[in-house]
Amino acid sequence: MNEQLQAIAGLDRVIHEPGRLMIVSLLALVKECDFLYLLHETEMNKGNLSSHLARLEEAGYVEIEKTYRGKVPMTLLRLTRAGRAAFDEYRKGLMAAF
Amino acid sequence: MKHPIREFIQIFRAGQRAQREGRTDEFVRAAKENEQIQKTMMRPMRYEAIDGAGEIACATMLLGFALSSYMYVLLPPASLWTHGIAWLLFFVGAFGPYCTHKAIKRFITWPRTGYVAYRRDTKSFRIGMVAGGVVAVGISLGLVFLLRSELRHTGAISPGIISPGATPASPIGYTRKTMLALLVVSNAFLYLMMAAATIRKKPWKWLLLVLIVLGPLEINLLVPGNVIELSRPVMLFLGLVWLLSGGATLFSYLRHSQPPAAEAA
Repeated sequence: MNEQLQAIAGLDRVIHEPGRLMIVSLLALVKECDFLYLLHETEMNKGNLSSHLARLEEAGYVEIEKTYRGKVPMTLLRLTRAGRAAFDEYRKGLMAAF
Repeated sequence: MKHPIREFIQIFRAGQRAQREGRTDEFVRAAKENEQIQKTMMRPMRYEAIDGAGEIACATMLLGFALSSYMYVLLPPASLWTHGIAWLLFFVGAFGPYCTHKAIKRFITWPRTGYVAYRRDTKSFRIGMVAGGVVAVGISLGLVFLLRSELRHTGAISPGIISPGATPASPIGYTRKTMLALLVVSNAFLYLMMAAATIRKKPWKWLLLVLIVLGPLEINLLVPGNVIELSRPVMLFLGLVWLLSGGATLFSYLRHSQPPAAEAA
């Protein structure tokens, strides 16, 4: 049991936060998506989502690209290689608890 | 990484077992969290089917081929229009699905609920592509083999098109049955795959699945003739069912989603 608790305690705290965990879980399955998609799927408000994304970008887990589709501004988001590795590691850590 | 669905089932069971055994709160919380990750990771699959684009694409293909085949039978044989319209519809059947799917995503879904590009570099995607290709080639070769006598008798220039003035071939029981079974099974399987992500929220899709299975069987009893004469109404019927399903899904999506305010983008 102690080993299981240790495994849980050793989880990456950047990803462990529920909001960020949801964002990373969504980004892990897609190549890239825009801000609107995450807003729709996570049902967070814009400010919350922006702050979580900023934290993930700071940790080097998410890449944010400001671009345009036609004349409409669009924020593209994708998981970096480090982010993907960290998420895989996180899931392994969580599975180790079982 | 394991497949999300398989892992979800494993974790769900582990969570239940942990609760039964009265493990620590932290452990149960971790189990629930892991369960939540799996649920979240299945959302992109559901998002792909949210607007009925895939169903409408399948409807385009089936209706294109069926109407193309009908044009040859119904319009005057020597008319340039007959050939033009029939071939146009044939191309709609061949290339329409891709264009329809892309257009719905680009002009309806992405501006409303966001753009997403799925990963194409995963092992399961590559295996799926190879398996799909092998099955498609197998079905095509099987169809050519099954229809060889029909094609010889009718002089058809494609599986769905009969040349004007051709004499109908004598009905061949097993060919009809095999073709019918192929159409029903492939359509039902494809429909179930596409609707799987949304069928719990839209239970009326079960009814359409039943229609996909029973409709062609009923048509088989009503329509005499060879396999090509049977495939026309069957494809038309299946195309209409797909269109009904996709149209209703799209309508529901449009009703429940609003275009975002300009600053949300």
